[in-house]
Amino acid sequence: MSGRKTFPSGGIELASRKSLSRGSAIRNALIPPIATVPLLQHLGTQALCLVKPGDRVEEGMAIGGASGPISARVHSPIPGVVTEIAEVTLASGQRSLAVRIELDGSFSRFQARGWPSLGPDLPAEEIVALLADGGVVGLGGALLPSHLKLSIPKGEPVDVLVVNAVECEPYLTGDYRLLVEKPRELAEGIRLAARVCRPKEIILALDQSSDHAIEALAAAAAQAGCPISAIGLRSKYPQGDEKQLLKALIGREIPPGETPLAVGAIVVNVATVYALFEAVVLRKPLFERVVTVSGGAVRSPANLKVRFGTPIGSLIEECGGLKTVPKRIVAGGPFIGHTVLDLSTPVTKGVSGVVALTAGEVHEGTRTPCIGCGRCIEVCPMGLNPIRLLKQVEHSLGAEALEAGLLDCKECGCCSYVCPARVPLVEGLRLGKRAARSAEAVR
Amino acid sequence: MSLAGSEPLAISPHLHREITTARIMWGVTACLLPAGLWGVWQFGPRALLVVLVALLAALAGELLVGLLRSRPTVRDGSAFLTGLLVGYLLPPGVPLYVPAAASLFGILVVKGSFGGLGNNWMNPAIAGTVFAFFSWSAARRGWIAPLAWSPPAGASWAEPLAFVKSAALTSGAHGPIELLASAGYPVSRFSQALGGWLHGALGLGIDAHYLDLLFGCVPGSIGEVSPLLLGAGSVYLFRTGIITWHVPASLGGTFLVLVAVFGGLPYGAGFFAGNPVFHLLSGSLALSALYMACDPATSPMTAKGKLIFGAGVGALGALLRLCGSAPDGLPLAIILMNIATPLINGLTGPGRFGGGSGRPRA
Amino acid sequence: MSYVGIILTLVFVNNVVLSQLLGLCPLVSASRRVESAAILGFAVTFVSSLAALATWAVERLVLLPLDIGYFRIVAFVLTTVGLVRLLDFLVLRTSSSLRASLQVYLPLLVPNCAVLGITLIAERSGYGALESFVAGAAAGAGFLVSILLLASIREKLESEWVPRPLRGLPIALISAGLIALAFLAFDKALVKNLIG
Repeated sequence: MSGRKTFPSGGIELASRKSLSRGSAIRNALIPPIATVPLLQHLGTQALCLVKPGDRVEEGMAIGGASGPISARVHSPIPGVVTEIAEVTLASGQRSLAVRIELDGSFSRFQARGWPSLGPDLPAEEIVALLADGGVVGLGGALLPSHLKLSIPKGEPVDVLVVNAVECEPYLTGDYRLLVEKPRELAEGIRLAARVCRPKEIILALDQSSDHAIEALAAAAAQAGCPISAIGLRSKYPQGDEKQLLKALIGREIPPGETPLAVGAIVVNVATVYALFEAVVLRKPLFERVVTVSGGAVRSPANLKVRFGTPIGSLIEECGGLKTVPKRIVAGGPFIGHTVLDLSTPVTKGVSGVVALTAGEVHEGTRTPCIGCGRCIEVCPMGLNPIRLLKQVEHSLGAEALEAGLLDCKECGCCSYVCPARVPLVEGLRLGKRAARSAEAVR
Repeated sequence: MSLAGSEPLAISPHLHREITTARIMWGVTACLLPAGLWGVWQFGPRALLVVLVALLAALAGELLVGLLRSRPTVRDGSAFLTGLLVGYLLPPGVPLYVPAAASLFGILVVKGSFGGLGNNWMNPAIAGTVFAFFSWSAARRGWIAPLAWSPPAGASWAEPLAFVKSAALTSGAHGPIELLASAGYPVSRFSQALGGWLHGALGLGIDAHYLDLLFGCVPGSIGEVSPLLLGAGSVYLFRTGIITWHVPASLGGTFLVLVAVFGGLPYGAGFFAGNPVFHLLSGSLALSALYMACDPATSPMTAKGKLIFGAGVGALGALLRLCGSAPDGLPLAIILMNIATPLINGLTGPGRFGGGSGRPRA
Repeated sequence: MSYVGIILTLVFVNNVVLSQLLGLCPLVSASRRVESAAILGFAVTFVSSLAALATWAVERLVLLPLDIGYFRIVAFVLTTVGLVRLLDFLVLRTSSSLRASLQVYLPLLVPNCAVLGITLIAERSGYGALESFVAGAAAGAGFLVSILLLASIREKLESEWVPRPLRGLPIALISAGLIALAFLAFDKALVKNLIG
């Protein structure tokens, strides 16, 4: 086990607030009586709707088909009847068609009672096909369909496969609980992923506070014939981002606009590995995920296994409800997550957490002029000058902003977090990037 | 249940550090208060009047700017801080039009005309006092003997730096403390007693003049005289991260080294014969290094930039202290380096991740 | 005064722009970008050093012997203009691409009160040939310093919310004034104490 590596410049160390839900074992959330399942839960184009109102569906049945080269299938999380196809607003603000299913029928299809032993023979192509069939996408946030991520062009070398269990966002503990509770399943999932991309080595990246969780996993992986080395990284946000992760683990910097493959690496989130296991070994498509419900305003924070389409409000109710009026409810982690305005918003593949924050946790403020303190520059993990970029964007100096690296910004939120003047840096840079991209498109 | 309409859509990130601009400004003000209270105690009600006039003029100026721009900004504490610093930089006996003019010039011309807080590139308090300093000779005088000098010292004595500068070459002394002693510069009874005790109990031979300078028992500008209280106040600022070590360390370090090497020259004592301790404790060094040079808007934003800035202020400050005609060159050194801050900001920056430079692929 | 003294005085104490308020038009025209400021600054340095030398020659060889000192200003203007035209011609002959990029600065150099002022001051101070040359170069260097400093500040101000009535020329002049205020720190006594 190596020492406390981290990425050298930028980033923030802060209280992780994970103690609220760390000790809470994953339990199944209540099945929703009505599931609103969006057809766009992934990066790429919305899935084609395969059902119509009145159709009967079973748990795990495909209700959305891949609609293009970058798309993913969507499956029904519950058995029942399709009541309507309507447009809904997702937590991210995107609009998507959704299939509304009313619960009716039996569940027995995917009770796991030991898994069939696959042996080492399953060929890579079949694994990738099973991923596509199962609608598996990157659950760490990017939502890239996994069959695309693991389809490595022939001849492209993969030096290292990184299993990302860092979970750098505060409050979120879902990935950690997977590490603690499902080591054998994860080990098998890692073995299968390694069969596809054939890396020279496999690294499991963790936060330093999760060191103790990997013994069982390392043993299981060794037994399964694919040894992993685990590295506990310093608790620093955004350590879990693949750019900072690879810099800390192997010292390589992904050039702007490139993927990790450009530096010989593949990074997969540990929840995706679990979904891979379920899809390939249990032949169970992706229709549920672990969601951490936490925050100072929630009475009993917990880690729930939630079926997609469940309204966010019912998760909070299951966790004892709100004990105070929250300042903000966030879908995802508090740094990159989206504000939830409507508690009937459905949980989708990208919702890793539901965090109800109090005013004392948010520390909001109104915007005041920049005082030139330079804190934003100090913490930017991409080495940018956020306030200068924002000023260039606000003064319509687009060319200068692009020159200075506007498109390198990952909207991690470090700059806005530290700003004493509450300058809306991420918001402004996001708008600037959008304007720059549409200007490029016009050209 | 819908929460829509309760507040405008909030964008990520949804967490912030607790610190705000107002806290920073009022925090710095609070840390400055002990030194100012000391000055008012030592120099009497006239000093209080000067500070109050400076404060009122600054606040009035800020209100005016707020009215003109239809956006009131008095609340954020920066105008109050500017007014306070103007008062602190002036001798206690100046005619009252001096702090008023200095504050108004600072707030209206140096800060307001650029668009207010954060847009200005020159420190408004220092620019205001420099403006007054060069406009009226009365702004350069007005020293009052401190309360600690009792019995009263009779003829009016200038502050130590001014006194030393005017008498350096002719005195035959080898250093400023020698000069003060030989010219019969008064010492407070407190420092004499303390010096005696230190000698008797701990065997330390510290000249009483040093103690006077340390505690602030000498004539001087209202907020500058007590490096001890200024330093004590700055502890809170360091601990809360409002200021970092970069500017004070590089400023102090450069200044002290240069003074140590060249400080003996005005006394004809050759190289490496300077008295850095005297210069550390006198004039506005403490106020400059710990407060004014650390002003975020007018100093560079990166750590590297801050080090360069501090070194520049220290070097110019030493030059002006030893060779310039103004007794204390440090505030002038700060505004000279303020001019270079945009240049330093442009030249020092963190390296971009992935080695990006120029327009990346969209 | 020694050469070091001349240089220090002309760059810091009697800065042609900041103390003597000459050459403000080229200052504000070319200070919007650091690049153009640097080019003009070097051009002025180059021209004024040669101009100071040339006018010294004119003073010694024409004005004094013929005792037509009252023609001084006219003579110096003609000398300066002629010198710039000559340099322009020489640059054109050596590199037309260089000349094309410098062409835009020509109107700022030809009737340039800073350069003229420098030549008159050098004459009044009674400098010899080499001293005049050094004085011209130093004064030009002073111009270069001021325009570079002002340009870096103006580039920063481009992305600040300066009140609309003051944007552009007004805030540039205010900034130049503040730089001049700070430069009051440098005075004759400083130079005297520094170099003994």
